[in-house]
Amino acid sequence: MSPGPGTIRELASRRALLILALLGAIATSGYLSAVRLAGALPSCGIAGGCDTVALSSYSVIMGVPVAYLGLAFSTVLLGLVGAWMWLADRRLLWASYALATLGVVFVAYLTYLELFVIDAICIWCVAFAASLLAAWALLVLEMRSSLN
Amino acid sequence: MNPSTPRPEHVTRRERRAAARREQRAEPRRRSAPRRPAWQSPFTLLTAGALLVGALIVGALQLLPGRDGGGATAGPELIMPVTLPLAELTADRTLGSASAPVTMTVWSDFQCPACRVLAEAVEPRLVTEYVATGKLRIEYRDLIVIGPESVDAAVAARCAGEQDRFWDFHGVLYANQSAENSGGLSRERFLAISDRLGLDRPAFEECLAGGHLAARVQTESAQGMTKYNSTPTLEFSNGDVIRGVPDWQTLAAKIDELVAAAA
Repeated sequence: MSPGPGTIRELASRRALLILALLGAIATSGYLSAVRLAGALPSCGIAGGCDTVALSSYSVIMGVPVAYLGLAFSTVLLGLVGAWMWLADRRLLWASYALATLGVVFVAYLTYLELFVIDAICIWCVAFAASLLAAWALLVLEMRSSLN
Repeated sequence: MNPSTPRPEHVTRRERRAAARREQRAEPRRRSAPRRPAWQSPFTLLTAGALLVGALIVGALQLLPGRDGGGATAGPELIMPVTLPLAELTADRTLGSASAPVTMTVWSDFQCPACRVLAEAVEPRLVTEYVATGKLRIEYRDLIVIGPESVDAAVAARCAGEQDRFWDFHGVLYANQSAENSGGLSRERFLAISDRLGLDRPAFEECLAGGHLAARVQTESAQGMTKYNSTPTLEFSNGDVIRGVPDWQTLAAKIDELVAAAA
């Protein structure tokens, strides 16, 4: 798999997607953080459920709102990924991948809580989970091409 | 393998980075792949490590005590309305100067949506324009029209009242009403509010457990029921009554009239 012109374009768009996915995660968690900071409830449109999730005791971990954690996490991850792309140091990719995997485990737990404990789904949280999952999958691809 | 690009002496940063990237891609194949067994690949190790750490964090969170209100952790998700800066005018369920010419008694239910409108949209303005200026005193009365959880909430608010924080508690209950209806006005919820307001936790818990207040709520509500059957009902010191939530003009005119009459 020597990177011919097609492959390079592929790699470039993969990286663009990765950045885009992380920006999506930052946007959703940023919105949820802003709403929480304002002391309001996220608006869900007809989907509903956002207030139930936001008001549950699970929306705060040891005094820190989960929305803030999500925002901090996705910002750090984007920073790591950006640093890797900029400096081309493979270890930064590894760190990004490890962090993303950790994030996916945690988001899986939060989604479990939404589905089975809180009994309500918040579309913003789902959007965050989807963005993070997409970023993780793209990082898996990056890991594979960096290691094979 | 990559066709390795020749390296000129003077390269731009961009070129150097590109070269580093190419090397980065080529490197692992040269170095690690043939020598290390599969389970030792960074991919496997990192994945296993991250999963392990993730599982530990999730496990620790599951074991965290006080998920159901045992700690202050249940607090911050509450919507906290702006606190009325009238601590010196607050006594139990009364708000306002004892010498105010007009008294307005509010018969209300913590689960009633119209009462929420009154509490959130009307009361703050009443407080700034009439209570703070010494013209009006507001008294809160329980009129239970919705259900047993309304009694629980009324008891909890009275427990906060024992610490002179009735009005703060009342504001939080109304501000979070939609949540109560979906999540239930539970003991945990009240404790979370109490923690958030910084009430004396043991005293508050003892008050909730005491049970003596529920009977008082019921008695007061029964008395109210002999006169009114809907919430909110506003009863003025001269006997005038407004049912439901009045618009501001009507209410202000009524109070002005009573203030003028008392002068």
